[in-house]
Amino acid sequence: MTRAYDTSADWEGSGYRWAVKIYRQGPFPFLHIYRYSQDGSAALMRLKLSHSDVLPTYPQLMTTPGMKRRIQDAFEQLLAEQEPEQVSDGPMRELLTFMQEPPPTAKRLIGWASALGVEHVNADEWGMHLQDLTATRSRAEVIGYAIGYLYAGLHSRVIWIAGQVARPATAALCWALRSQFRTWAALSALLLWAGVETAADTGIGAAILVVLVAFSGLVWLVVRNRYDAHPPREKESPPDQGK
Amino acid sequence: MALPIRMTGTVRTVLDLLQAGAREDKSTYGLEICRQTGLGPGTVYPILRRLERIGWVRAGWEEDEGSGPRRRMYELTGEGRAGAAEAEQRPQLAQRLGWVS
Repeated sequence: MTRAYDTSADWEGSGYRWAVKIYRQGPFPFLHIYRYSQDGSAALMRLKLSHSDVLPTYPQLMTTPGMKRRIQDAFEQLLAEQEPEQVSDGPMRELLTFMQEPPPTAKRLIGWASALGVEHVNADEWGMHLQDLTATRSRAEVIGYAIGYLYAGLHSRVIWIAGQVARPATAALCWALRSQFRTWAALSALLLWAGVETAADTGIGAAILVVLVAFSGLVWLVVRNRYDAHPPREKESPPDQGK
Repeated sequence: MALPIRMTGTVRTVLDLLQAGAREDKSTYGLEICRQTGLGPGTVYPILRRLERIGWVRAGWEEDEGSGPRRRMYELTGEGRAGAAEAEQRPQLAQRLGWVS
């Protein structure tokens, strides 16, 4: 970078200063094309851009949708024009490797997402996707996807924690529901309380309605079916035992 | 019998795609599901993990090590096909409540 800056013309200087700033924060393929091509202007022409379009607005350029594709097309054209030995060892190879590398921010996000996620396969799976995306999408899009993976990892961890916390409560509820006595004792107490409160506040008619609705809703429609926690007599017997 | 997963619009979209793959006897990978459905990975992966947990989806690494990175492929299991078909038959909540015909 320093050498490129030293050998640049005055009018190119400000552009390189911008580039140095951006380069420090992540990959910057366009600059590499510009720097490594025999003639920077030719590279710009291939991208259908002029110096005045590009140099003052590097950040804007790199966030332009489809720019990655245009850079890759130009890069492929440049590669086709090079001698094979130059491509295998020279800066072009460096550029090719550079362009295939996902943005460091995205890699960091995927690392966090994998560490957060409960499933151990996430790191490999999502790392592969990142490489896949890097080949076809802009840097901003790749980072956007990486944020999505971070959410997926976070979601996986939150669900796991919620499961751990809810398991004893669910087990206790199922234990109560698997016995007629336990279910009726708990429900009768609650319904009696609701009935007495409603009768005192509103009247006996409303109290009867509350008790009936709560009874049918809680016992028959929601809780037992939701947890498949029926008393033994109501469960379906296995075919060999049922005979 | 209640379905083991809440059939939201996004779950249905992912299941539809997996069902289409199952009809052609093809498996698909997470990124492709994101592309095809237009959903982000933050939506698709939690759904895939849930489907995997309830046994509707089977996941495994691609065996062909040809060009490109190796992928983790997802496909519907027999149980998943039956469940998805049953879910398709069920009317939506709005229909059950009589809000739409």
